[in-house]
Parts: sequence; structure tokens; C-alpha cells
Amino acid sequence: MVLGRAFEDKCAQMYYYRKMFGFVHLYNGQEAVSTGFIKLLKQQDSIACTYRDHVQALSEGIPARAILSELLDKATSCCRGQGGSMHIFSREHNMLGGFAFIGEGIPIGTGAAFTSKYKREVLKEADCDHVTLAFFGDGTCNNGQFYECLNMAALWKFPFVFVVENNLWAILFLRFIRKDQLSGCWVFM
Amino acid sequence: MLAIARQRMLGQSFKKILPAVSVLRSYSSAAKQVIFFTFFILAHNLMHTDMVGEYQGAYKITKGLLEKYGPERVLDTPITEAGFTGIGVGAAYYGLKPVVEFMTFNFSMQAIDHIINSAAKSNYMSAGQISVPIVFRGPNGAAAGVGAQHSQCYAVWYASCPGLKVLSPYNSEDARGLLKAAIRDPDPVVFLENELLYGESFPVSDEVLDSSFCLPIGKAKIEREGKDATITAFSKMAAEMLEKDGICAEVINLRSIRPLDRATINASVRKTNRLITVEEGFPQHGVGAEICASVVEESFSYLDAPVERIAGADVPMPYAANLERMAVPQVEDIVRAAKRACYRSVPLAATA
Repeated sequence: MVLGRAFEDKCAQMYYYRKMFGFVHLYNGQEAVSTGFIKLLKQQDSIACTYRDHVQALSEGIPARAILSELLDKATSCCRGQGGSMHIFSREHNMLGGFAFIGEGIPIGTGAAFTSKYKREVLKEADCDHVTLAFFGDGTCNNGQFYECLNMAALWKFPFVFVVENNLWAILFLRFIRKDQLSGCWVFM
Repeated sequence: MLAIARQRMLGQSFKKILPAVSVLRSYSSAAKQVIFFTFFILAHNLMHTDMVGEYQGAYKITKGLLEKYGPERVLDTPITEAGFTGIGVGAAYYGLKPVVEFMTFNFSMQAIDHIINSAAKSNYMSAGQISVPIVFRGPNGAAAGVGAQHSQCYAVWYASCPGLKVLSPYNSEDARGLLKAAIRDPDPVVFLENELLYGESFPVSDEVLDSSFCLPIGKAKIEREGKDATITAFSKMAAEMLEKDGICAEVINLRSIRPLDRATINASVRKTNRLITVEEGFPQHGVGAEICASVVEESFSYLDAPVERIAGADVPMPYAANLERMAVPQVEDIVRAAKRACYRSVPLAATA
């Protein structure tokens, strides 16, 4: 958590010094959510998140140097400068990406959860118990893909957790919370 | 990695239990044979298979597979294109090889964010860490009397995107060989079939019937050699071309829209010195425009006449049968264009 806060503060500083440019979305104040969840994951579990993905990446174990290098356009970074702030990927750490459009990471994470169930039941890998988490904001709860995946995850009982990070903002608008309770799945707010 | 190796082994065992096949294979069953080797399929509305079987050939392709491999591998999904396409992409990120079927590619617009942003761009954005071995397939282009929202050709939409491969088969040989290549390919592939061709049968050789038959992606096929003009076409338009007589035209079946086989097209134009491009989609920024630019860049001094582009009409597809016929290129339009290219008998402006 402390690393996450220090990292994001440094990003802000670099941005104001014009060392970083384009889109940079900071996670200050939300560190507890992803850090808490990811601490409980195993190596083979995976996560998908939105463009606000620096601290999730740090919690997953991607070195801070690799992520900051990515934001500073270095070829030695985690994605060779090809992804940027919003698209931190790591095969090794099972970070399935930051995604630019809200709601975009949810079906991807659902697909990873599907794979876990498929490996267990169709490919008969009995010890496969991978879990997938998708992190997204409260504004995303207005998005169609969120509901589509809630439906399918409940229908097929995927090992999937929808983590709503309610920071009371949807892009630039203050939003009211709408708490949903769908049978068959827990929704963390 | 071990799981992927095991998946490949499973695919091998299925090859041994394939039934004997007859020489004449229909377009749709050629595609179905290939899908035996896939690991799972996501499609919506399989429940309506009986009702739409004769009307939407896509379902004939997957129906037998559901009975043979069961609902765990041939998944009937709710009607949520964005959701299930994203699920397919996520599964591909994690090592499976999904085949996602759209009822028609018009519905892929609901899911286009995942096709482009999640599938096509991920290998680049992750600097090669994430590979997306997914196939998106379904009927593309005009059908018969289905109206404007069900008749668009999406070849150009997807072909303009780096990171995707776009294939369009014409006959059974193409359907079988290209679909297998698409499924084996480690990158996302958009496989544009044609609904009106599903019921057609084409003669195939024994080589095509072999279980390991595969065609290379990015290679066009010269369906008929000629010397007067080069005609490029794909999917159903290739069928129209082979009916035409008169001018000894070399007909190229593109097969692969992205990557485009520029070498074959340019070699042909350097031989015939004239080019007519044919496509069903809208004319502006079409496949023909890209081929024309490629030929102008690489073979300009070989051209004896301006390139002729034949495309669908620049209107949303009308419903009435007579209007629909006028909105799609017909053989007469192509003959007229070929004559213009060869004899320049009618100034281009007069035909606008």
C-alpha cells in the first residue's frame, strides 16, 4: 500500500515535470482495495482491471522499476513502451491488462475464469482452482458488459470476483451508488 | 503450456475418428469438418437451430458438433455479443483456442471493441507477452432480403486494423483450408463466410479431404489464368467472376484480405496491364481502393488503363428484391467494367 501511494505520488510529480504525458490515472486513496484482494491470490490466479492499473500491477509483483519505465517510454519496461499507463500486461504475473474502456476488462476476466472452469471440468485438470478478479469502478456498473458478465458468470458458476471500487466518481461525474444484489453471485462494493 | 500441449493431443485423437467423406463437399460441411478440431465454440441462439437451419447456414455448421461434443465445448450463450466475445478473448489470453461465432458479422459491431481493442491490439500492447489465438467467424455481406442492418460487408472494417488477420473463403477448399489455418494461427483471425454459399457444393480433390489440409494465410489463388485483364474478387464475388465470358481475364480469388497478397496481384497486373477490382461492400475506402493504391505504388508504369473498381452501391442495402439486386454488383456490371478497361469505349464520367 505504501509502495503504491509513493509510486502514484512520483507519477504525479513526473507528470507535472513533463517527463510523463498522455493519460495517467492515479490510484491515491484506493490502495487498500486492490492490495487487500491481491494479497490473498495465488501465483496462478489472474486479474483484469481498468486504466487505473498501476497499483494492481505493483501488488501482483511486477517490479516498480518495470512499471515506471513503461510510463517513461523505456524499451526495458514491462511492455517495451508499447502499452503505456493504461495497458500494463504481464504474462508472468497473470496480469491480463489494464483496459481503456470501462467495462472492457470484465469480459476478459470472465473468460479467464471460464478457462479455469474449463480446465477443471473438460480438460480434467482436477487441481486447477484458478480464480480471476476484475477491478472496476462504480461508474462501470452502468455499463452493459458488467450486467452481461454478471449474468453469464452466475449462469455458468465461474470462479470469478467482481470488485467494484466505489470512489463516487464516474469519469468526471459524481454518481450515486446503486447497490445490486443478484441471486447466485456476491457483488462487493 | 502443458495444458496447450494436451489440447493439441486431444485434437490429434479426434482426427482418427473422422468418418469417410464423399468427393463433393459443401461449403458448410467443409467448415464443420475443421471445427471438429477446435476446443470450444461460443455461439448464441443454437436453441433456434431447427428454425433457422435452412435460412441461416451458420447453424448447420455447428449443430452436429453440439451433439457430438456436448454443451461444455459448444456453448450456447445468452444474446450478449460484447460479453461472450470478451469471454472468448479472455479465454484465449489464458491459453485456450476459442472459435466465436456471430450470427452475422453485423452483430459483431456489438462486440467490435473486444475484437479490435482486446484481441487485435493486445499482442502489441503487451510486447508479445499475451497471445490471442482466437477465431471470429460467421456470415458476412449481403444475404437475401434481410434489409440494411443485416447486409453489410465488414471486410474493410477489420482489414484496416493491425494485429488482425482477415480471411474470406470462396469455395469448399478455401473454407476447409483457411479455417484450419485460422484456428492454428496464434493471432486473432476474422473469418468472413458467405451465407448464400453455405448450401453450394464444389468439387474437391483428395488432397483437400485429407485431415491435415491447410492453406497458407496471405496467399491469393489464381482461379483462372488470363491475359487481357486482372480481376480481383473474394467470397461470393469470385463466383460471379467465373461465370463471366468474353474477355480473357485472369481471376484472382483473394482469400486473404489482411494480409493482402500484393505480390500475386502486382505480378498479375504486370502481365495483363489492366485491373478491375470487385467487391460487395461499400465503395468508399473499400478493398478495391487498397488494391488500387497498392498497384499504383508498385506497378504504375505497367497499367494501360485506369483501375476499375466495382463495389456495392453507396446506400444502405434496400429491402425490395429488385433494389437489392441493383445494390450488389452483377455480372453485367463487371463485364462493362472489363470492357471499359480493355477498350476504353465509353468515357468513365459517362458511366457515373
